[in-house]
Amino acid sequence: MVTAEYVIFVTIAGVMLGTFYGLATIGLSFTFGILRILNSGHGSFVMIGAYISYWCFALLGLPPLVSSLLAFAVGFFMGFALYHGLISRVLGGPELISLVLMFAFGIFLQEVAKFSWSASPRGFTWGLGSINIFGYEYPLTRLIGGVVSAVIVLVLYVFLFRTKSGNAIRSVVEDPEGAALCGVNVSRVYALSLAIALGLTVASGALSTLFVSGGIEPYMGDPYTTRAFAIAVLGGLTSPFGSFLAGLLFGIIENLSYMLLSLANVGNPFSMTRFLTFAMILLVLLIRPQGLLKR
Amino acid sequence: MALKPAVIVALVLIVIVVAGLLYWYFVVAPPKPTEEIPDKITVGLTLGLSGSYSYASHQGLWGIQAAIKWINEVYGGIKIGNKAVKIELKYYDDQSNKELVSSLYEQLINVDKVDFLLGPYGSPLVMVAAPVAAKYNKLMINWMGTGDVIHEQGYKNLVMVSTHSSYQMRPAMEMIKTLDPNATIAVIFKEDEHNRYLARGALEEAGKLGLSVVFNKSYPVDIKDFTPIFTEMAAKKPDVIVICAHEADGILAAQQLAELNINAKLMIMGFVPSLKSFRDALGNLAEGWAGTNQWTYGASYTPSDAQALGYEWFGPTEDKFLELYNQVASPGQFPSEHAGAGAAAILVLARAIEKAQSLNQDAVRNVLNTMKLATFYGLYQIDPTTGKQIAHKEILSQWQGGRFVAIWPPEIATSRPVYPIPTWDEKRQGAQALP
Repeated sequence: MVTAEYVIFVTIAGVMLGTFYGLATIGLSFTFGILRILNSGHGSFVMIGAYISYWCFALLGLPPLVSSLLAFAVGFFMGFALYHGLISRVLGGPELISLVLMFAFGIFLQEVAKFSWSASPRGFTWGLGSINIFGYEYPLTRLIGGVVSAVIVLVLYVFLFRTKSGNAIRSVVEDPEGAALCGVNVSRVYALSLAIALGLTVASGALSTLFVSGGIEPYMGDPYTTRAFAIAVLGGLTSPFGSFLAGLLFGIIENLSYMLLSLANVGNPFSMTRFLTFAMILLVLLIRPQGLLKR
Repeated sequence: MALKPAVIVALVLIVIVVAGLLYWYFVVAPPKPTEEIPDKITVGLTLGLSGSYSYASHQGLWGIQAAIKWINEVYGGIKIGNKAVKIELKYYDDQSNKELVSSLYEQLINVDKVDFLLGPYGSPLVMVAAPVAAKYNKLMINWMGTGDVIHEQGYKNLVMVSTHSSYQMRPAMEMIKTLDPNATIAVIFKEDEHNRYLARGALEEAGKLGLSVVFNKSYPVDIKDFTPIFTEMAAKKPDVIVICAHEADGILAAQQLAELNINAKLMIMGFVPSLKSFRDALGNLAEGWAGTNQWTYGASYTPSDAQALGYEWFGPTEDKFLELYNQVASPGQFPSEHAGAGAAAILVLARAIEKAQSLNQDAVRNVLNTMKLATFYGLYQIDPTTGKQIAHKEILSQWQGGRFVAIWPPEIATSRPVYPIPTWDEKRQGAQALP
């Protein structure tokens, strides 16, 4: 029997999962919104973050919360290096070139990971126990993962709207030529944006281990890429905060629709959950082809 | 000078006879059996050495190489006539990509001229490779494409050495029936072909044995949260939870059962509990988890098992296999079921060639139809019509006191099953599942 407590519990679980989906997607929108680059190797950066979390825990005993900071730093550095080494050469060219470039770089990362750490799946446990929400046990790691994801997005918001660098980024998004005329170093803004985007993506990979701490292997990122593209399109593709909102909706709908479909006695509710989630995307895009939010 | 009519007739007859003999010799007469025994037998396959099948494919490759090492260096080569012929392996990386498989198998057959084929790793890829082998009438030993449907397509030259998906959970049901005939069961499975068949087999066997299934639901392939489905299942209070899963989702499922504090008298998963990452991820919470495997080190068949069961023994013992495996595998690796299956494929093929005393595809296939063989990996016997494996049995193992030990079938079990297993809270306090 469905009680109000159960509905609240399932909603909270959906919100936590949704904030993580949002964080894991925000880098994709950031890259496309500012540099017009579709990061088709997105999942490989998530994979790098998951490995950082694993090795930090296995070798140093560091929990994923701490290793996510290191993961951000690694992603940030990769973003700068990638921009100056590859992206700056194809910027302004057809979007297909950058799409293929990032796809190839994603495969390169997968194979480097396999060469370095083998293809054997790895896992670890950071058991913090669970808390009781209206009579239902909910794991603390997931709660922490959800809350930290939300905090990171809040920090990003403050950075973009309350700092000089953030203003520079937004001015480049609006009008790169105008921003350049006003003295903004557009190339530097692009490099910084890619660094932040990849930093967030790699950090989300580290935080993903708070939700799924097993099955860490070189090819684990592929499903993240597919899901991130769906969420980013729903959110508006060029809008990082639209992506976050879409991720949140995605998580809530996934969990709540399961409950509703179970009530309706549908044979396999989870199959229908996916159908409903993607049907919702279609519906939203029919009503708002630009997605939930604009940039 | 005019010839006599009799001479003319005789000459015509002679010409006709000679022409007839020439026609018979060059056109009609069957070629003499000129099969020359080559110096080596080449076996070809593709493997997903990169891409999502990388782990299993590497394991399979090392198993295949270890078995070839045994045949060439320990056994002395395949005995055909007076010759001892060595096996040579030819393989390509199919990148776990079925789009590449077809052309690579064409290349193995037409360019590399391999004598026999092994299938790639994974049912979706075997589904692509099998028609190519059929097109050229090449024998293909399928070692790890366990989808039942592959062998229901009418490919006459496809032979399986491992248990098909729909049979993998059946021994688990047998064991439950023996331990607790009144047990209630929940079955949860991933929505992919392999796990769907796994669950179907479990449900069929449970029905046959009169076990009560109180919950039966699937979950999507990219699941990140089991909370809704587990919460619903917990209300049914099953005695046994059966999960048909792959690595990441299987570990997630086990972790979430622990986090949600959902207990059962026994929890069984496919092959996932046998993985090191499962134990790493769960620590002591892995205690009591049971998993099914095609093969696991420590629960191998031996020559005496083979004799007792009426099967011919062939190949290395488990320890010898491990020794050879360590010579070919990357440092720090330990043979998984995939390695065992790869090795079994080579051993079965080698013994069939010996028995056929020929490299003729049909002759070897005919031997494979009736051959009953035991290797360290298990038993081999097929249904001649479909090539499906009918003798090899899944092994059920359980985490007991930090070791993953074989508990079923009884003939090769090294420990008794623990039932009921400790609760999550007990395991958090350090309790182990000890018989």
